Amino acid sequence: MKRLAILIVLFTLGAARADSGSGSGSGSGSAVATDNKVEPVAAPNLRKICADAMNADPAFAKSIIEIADKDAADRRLEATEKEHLDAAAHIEKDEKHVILAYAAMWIIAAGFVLFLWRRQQALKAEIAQLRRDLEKEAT
Amino acid sequence: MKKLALPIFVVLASVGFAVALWLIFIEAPLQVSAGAARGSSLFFNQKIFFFHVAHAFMLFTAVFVSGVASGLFLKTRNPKWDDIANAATEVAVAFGAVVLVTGSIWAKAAWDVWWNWEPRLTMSLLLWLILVGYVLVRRFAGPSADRVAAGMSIFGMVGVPFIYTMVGQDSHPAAGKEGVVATLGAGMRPAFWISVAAFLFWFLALMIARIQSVRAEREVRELREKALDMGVLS
Repeated sequence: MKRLAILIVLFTLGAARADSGSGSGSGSGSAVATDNKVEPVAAPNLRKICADAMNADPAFAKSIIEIADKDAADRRLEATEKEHLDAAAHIEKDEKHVILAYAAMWIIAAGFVLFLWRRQQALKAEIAQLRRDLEKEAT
Repeated sequence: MKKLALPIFVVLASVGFAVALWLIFIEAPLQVSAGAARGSSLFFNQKIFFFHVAHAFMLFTAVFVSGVASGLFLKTRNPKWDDIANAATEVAVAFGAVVLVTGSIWAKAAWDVWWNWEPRLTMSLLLWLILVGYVLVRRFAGPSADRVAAGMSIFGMVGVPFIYTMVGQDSHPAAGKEGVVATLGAGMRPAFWISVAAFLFWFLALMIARIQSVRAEREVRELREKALDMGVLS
C-alpha cells in the first residue's frame, strides 16, 4: 500500500512537471513522464519529492506514517506468529525429552540391577568365607 | 521350579518390553480417538505416558505389598514377611525414582517446568522419601530396625490412595473412572497394558532377586553370630 501511494505521488508530480513543458528530457534523473510514460527517478530526488509532498499535505503525511506503522506492526505480528508456530512444532515433535525419559528409565533400572548383582556376589563370597572359617574351626 | 521363576520372569519382561516399545512407537496413534481431527492430536511427548504410568502402577503395587507384609510381620513376627517387605520397599524405591525422573522430564516437555509443587507431585515425592527413610532405618537403626521400618511401610501404604485420588486438582492428567487410563483410545490400550504386564514381570523378577539377597543377608548375620560364639570372629 505504501509503495502504491508513493508511486501515485511520483506519477502525479512527474506528469505535472512534464505538462509544465520543460521538454528537455530527464536530465540528471528527475521524475519525467513523456507521452504518459513514467521514467525512473534517482534516489535523492525521490526522497526529496516524497518529503516535499508530505510537508505540503499533512493529511497525506499522516496517512503515509499510518501505513508505515501498520506495515511494521504486521511484520512484528508475523514474526511473533512464526515464533509461536515454531515453538508449537518443536513441542509437538519433541523427541529429545522422550529419549531422555526412556534413557533415564533404563539407566535407573540397570543401576538397580547392578547394585543387586554386586551385593549378591559380595554376600555369596562372605557366606562362603564364613563357612570355610567355621568348618576350619570345627575340625 | 523356584529356581526357574527368576529367569522365566526376566524373559517374559524382556519380551514384554520389546513388544511394548514396538506398540508404543509404531502402532499407538497420537490421536485421542480414531479419525480425530488434528486439533485433538497429542504431542509426541505423550509417549512417555506408557512407561511412566506403568512404573507408577508398579510403585503402588510394591508399596502395597510392602505395607501388607509389614503388617503381617508385626502381627506374626515371622521373618518371612519382613524379608518380603524389605525387598518390596527397595524395589519400590527404584520404581519411585523412575516415576519421579520420567515425570519431571515429561513435565519439562509438556509444561516447560521440571517440577511444580502441586499436590500429587508433592505427595509422590513424600512417599518416595518415606521409602528411602525405610531403607535408611533398615541399615542404621540397629536391632529394632525391622519393627520401626514396618511401621514406616504401613504409613507409606496409607498414603497411596491419597496420591491416586488427588485428581482434577492440578495440572496432572486425571486418574480414576474418568481418568486417562480408563478413557484411553482403543489404539493405545494394547501398548499401555502390555507395558503394565512387562513391568509386572519385571517387578516380580526384581522381587525374587531381592528376596534372595535379603535371605543371604540374614544367613550372613546368623553365620557371623555363630562365628562370634565360636571365637572365629572378634
